[in-house]
Amino acid sequence: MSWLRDLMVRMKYEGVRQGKTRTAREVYRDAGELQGEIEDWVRTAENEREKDLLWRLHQIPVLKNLGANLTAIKNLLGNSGDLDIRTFVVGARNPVRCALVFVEGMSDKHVIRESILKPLMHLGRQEEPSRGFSSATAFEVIRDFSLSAGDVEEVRDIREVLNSVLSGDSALFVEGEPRAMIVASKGFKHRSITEPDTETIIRGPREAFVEAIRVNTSLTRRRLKTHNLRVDEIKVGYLSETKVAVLYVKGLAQEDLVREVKDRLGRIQTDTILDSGYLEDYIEDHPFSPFPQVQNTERPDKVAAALAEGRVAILADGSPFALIVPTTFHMFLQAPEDYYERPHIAVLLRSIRWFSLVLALVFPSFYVAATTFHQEMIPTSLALSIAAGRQGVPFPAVVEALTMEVLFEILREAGVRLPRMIGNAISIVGALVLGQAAVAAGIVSPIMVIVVGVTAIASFVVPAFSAAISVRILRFPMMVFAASLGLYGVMWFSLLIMIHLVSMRSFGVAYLSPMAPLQVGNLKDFYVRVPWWAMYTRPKPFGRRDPKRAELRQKPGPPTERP
Amino acid sequence: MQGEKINGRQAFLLLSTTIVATLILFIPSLAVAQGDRDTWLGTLLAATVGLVVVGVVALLAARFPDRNLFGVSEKALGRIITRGLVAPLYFLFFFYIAAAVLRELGDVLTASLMPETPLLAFVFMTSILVALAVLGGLEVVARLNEIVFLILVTAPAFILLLLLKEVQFENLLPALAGGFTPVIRAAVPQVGFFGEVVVLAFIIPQLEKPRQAGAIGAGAVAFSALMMVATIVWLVGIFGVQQVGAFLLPTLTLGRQVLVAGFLTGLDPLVVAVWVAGVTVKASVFFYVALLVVVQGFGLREYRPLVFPATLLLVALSILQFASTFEFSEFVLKTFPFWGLTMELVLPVVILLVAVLRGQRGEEG
Repeated sequence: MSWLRDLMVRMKYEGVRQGKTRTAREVYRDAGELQGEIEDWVRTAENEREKDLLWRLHQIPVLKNLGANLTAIKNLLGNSGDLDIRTFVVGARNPVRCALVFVEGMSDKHVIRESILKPLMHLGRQEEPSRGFSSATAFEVIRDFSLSAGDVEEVRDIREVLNSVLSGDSALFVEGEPRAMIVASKGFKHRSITEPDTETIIRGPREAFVEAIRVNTSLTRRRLKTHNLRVDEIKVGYLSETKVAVLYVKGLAQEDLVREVKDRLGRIQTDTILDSGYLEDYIEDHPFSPFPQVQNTERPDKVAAALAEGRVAILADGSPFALIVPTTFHMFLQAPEDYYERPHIAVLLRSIRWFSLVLALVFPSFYVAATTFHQEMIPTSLALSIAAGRQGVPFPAVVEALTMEVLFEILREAGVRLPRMIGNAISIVGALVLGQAAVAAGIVSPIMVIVVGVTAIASFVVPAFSAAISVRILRFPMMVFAASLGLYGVMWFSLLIMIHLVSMRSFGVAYLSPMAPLQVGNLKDFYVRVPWWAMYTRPKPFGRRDPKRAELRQKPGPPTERP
Repeated sequence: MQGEKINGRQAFLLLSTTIVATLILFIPSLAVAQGDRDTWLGTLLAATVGLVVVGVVALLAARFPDRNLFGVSEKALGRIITRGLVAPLYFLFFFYIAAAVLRELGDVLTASLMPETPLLAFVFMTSILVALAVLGGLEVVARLNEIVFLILVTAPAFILLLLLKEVQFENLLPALAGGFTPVIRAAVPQVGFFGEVVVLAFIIPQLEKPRQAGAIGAGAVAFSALMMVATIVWLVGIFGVQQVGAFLLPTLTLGRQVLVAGFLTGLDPLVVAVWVAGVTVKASVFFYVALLVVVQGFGLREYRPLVFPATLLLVALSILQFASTFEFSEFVLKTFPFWGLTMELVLPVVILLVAVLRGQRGEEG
């Protein structure tokens, strides 16, 4: 009974626990006359313990009686409206009853009509033996000769039948055969592939992931056609049964990294996974850190690039966002375009992004600290104009700054949630009310409006939304420290953030590498992006298994000797 | 704890920050008051003594790559003397310096930036950072320093460069007008700081390649000497000997002189902010080593449970140890050079000598 042990192990892996589904006895209760047959089946068990397990496991055998099988399926699905059962007869001399089970909307009608039903209906004219079909020969003839669908699989468990049927395949039962055929017929409507909404670029590929995991894996495989690309799938969530795929290039990604990713995913025990964001919460190293430790992207080219570096990608069915691990902080400041444009601009853009990140974090605090404690730092003429602007403003600088930043956050949130047409109105109202009127009324100083504006724009520069969020959160406590301890407070909080960042790891890789710890080889793709012919090694922490990515000495130039 | 490893570059940067952080801000005025125009020669003399300390550390590392100074002492002098005498002495030394560093930070901040904020606020707040960094371990301190070091070096370099045209190198002449006495007098307040490189002897087993200890220490001392000489030359060249000796924090005054792009001036708060980062790293290093000595002295396995109570002691000590900034100067001038050299040079030499005479070697040595 080794298959039983396999089954138990698999069920444990899939996170299915007892009590979540009904037992075989319950399922077949309505088909009372079949009790005997089930008991026959249970009698094959070698001892009492296995017998007991067979009863209590969720294994529900496919029985010889066609009607019983259909009843079982109907019972389990509760007569769902989208369940379709098509019964028909094969053979003329000795008709054998068959039934095709599929879920409407999940399966491709065209495939079912043309590749499954049509050949079956025409079956029997030539292949039928003179004494007619027995149920076994019918099953085998159908399987071997008459189905023109791509993928046919044999199963003996109603639960497996249901799994397949519910994900769009069709199940074919033959009267008198204790097994069923699963015929690939998946084909549900999905959103068509569009441009990425959150990661727009000017030059480079424009495809984005969609909600269907098959489409997403195909988008990735189209970019990495190597046979070493692995797509290992498991199911997570006992209600959603979400397919989660772990993608990596075998031989590049480190074995223990892949194992660790699979382990962490396998440990998840929950009911639903509706987006890869759920997975992120379960697998990250430091759940209470304000900094994201898993990169998410809707760009297949970004995933392919990460896989080629030896990293691991995670796709979840139903989510157009792939997760990439391990992640280091500087990856949030890289945009795909850095790699598609010529390298020079990447140097400029990346320094601007780093600068903006720091600016978005400290600029309001710096303003508060300078105006409250260190007026001598401000050049005299500037100090005079700030003082003139602040004249009549009833609040201290920190209250002013906090209020304006909070108002800005409110405005931004309103703009995100509203339909696009009203969103415009919000921004106009916001700009007029907060910018013009508040200054004119003397509630806010004009310089404060500038500070808030610069901070906001700077926070938009960060390519990754999730990284910009952490900066948005952290600038509020930063302002409080600036107001209470001046520049020392700003430095104190910055050091606190730095200590936090340097102690973090993402799947075993230091979060701030290659900056701290410094890895000179990886600086090729940090502040600067060297040309591709110079980037002949993979980044160290993940690409260690096969460090060479390109041949040396490929620097192009005019031909040295004329032919 | 012993599993943590830092590489040679990290150790070099860590030691450089440790030496430079306190040296550069507070000491120039004390040293110049002693050594006049020849102070920078005094710096070189002090650095030479620092190199001698490095030599001792290198010999230790070559003989006992798997043990730190405490471990060597335990082997050479025996458990009782080591745990009863050497460990308490070193704990007191490192803990006292960590507290003094925090105190110096508080003094500078209250003197220069925020005169109305109590000293305790700064000492306490910084001690939180120190505690968190030490909780993270040596690796975290080393990585933190890799970022801090960047700003700690670029900011002074930037300031020195911008002030280059104001420096009158004639102010340094004539050299050695008073013979060698001023040189030695100027070296006295600095020598203890260069000797701080002795912390390396306590983290030898945590180095990826313990045999690099000599190179690491020598590099750090040389780098610190370079920074210090540049600072003193610039200070004397710009302000002259008399003024520098009279300033409390001449380096800050230097920062105030800078004029960036014709309008940005008075950058001393920025200098202090950068310096705060360096001092935090330095205090963390000494606090870490002090706890390491306690852990080894009592044969404990883990230092982390000690961090919180020890931090409270650290704060209390740093408030109580000096009544005023002038007492701090007195300490630096009169106590620290001799106490420092005893702990940094004499004791390691004694331990090394005994080990050599007894013909002892480390397991891999």
